[in-house]
Amino acid sequence: MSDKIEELVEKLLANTNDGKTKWEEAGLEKGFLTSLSKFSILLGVTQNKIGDNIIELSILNSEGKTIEEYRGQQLTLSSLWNAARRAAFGVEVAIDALIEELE
Amino acid sequence: MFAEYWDAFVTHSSTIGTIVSILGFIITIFYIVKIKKVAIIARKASEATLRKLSYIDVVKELSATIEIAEEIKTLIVLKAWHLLPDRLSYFRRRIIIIRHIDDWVIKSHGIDLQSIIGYTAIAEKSLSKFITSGETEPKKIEKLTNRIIDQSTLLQNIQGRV
Repeated sequence: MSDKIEELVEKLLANTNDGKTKWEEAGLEKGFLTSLSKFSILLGVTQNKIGDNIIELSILNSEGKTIEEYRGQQLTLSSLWNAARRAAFGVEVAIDALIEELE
Repeated sequence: MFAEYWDAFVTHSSTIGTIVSILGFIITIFYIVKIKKVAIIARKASEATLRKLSYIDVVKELSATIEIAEEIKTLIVLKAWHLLPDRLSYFRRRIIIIRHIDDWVIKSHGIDLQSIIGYTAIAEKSLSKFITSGETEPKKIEKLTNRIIDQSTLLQNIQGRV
């Protein structure tokens, strides 16, 4: 992973964990999308031949064109995928509601 | 007699000249400031008019784009999959046009519009894949329908805020 992509992933992860970056399901694709004012970031997942998850990060420009794609299995990328999934599905809110109901 | 007046005039002429120059300079500065203020007021009025015109353009474009979103929803209901990528592409291009009408559009609604562009581009790509795959119906069709409804609602919200 290039240094800049790594920095981007780390910042996205930190912002997602802080609730500053909102993710939503990307529609037809199995993935999550977040948008800033001029770019969108799409996170997707595929599996390799032995069944390991490969995370795909795509950067879409202001016209919706994919200008950069990165695939990897790094820990930060997997953490970002999980954080995005949890944010998109509102997992934290669901767990809090469950705990509250069970108390 | 004349010589006395002439001497006095010569003695004071430089002082009078200096005073007249200073007065002229002050009057010039006063008019420059006045003209500058008038120019600023005229520029502000012209900017306000242009902004009003750009608001009208945005509202007009948003209305047309919302209609396309409604058409896309109908095409989904009718399962007219082959027509959808083209309509989605047109829809996305309209959003790109709206973004470029004025800087305030990007400042105020940049993230929402970019989000719509992103979702539409993904939907176009997925539908094109589906069409070439030969399957009868795209997977997770409810999600696509919901996304289009979300985008249409988002556009209506933007229109309401403009």
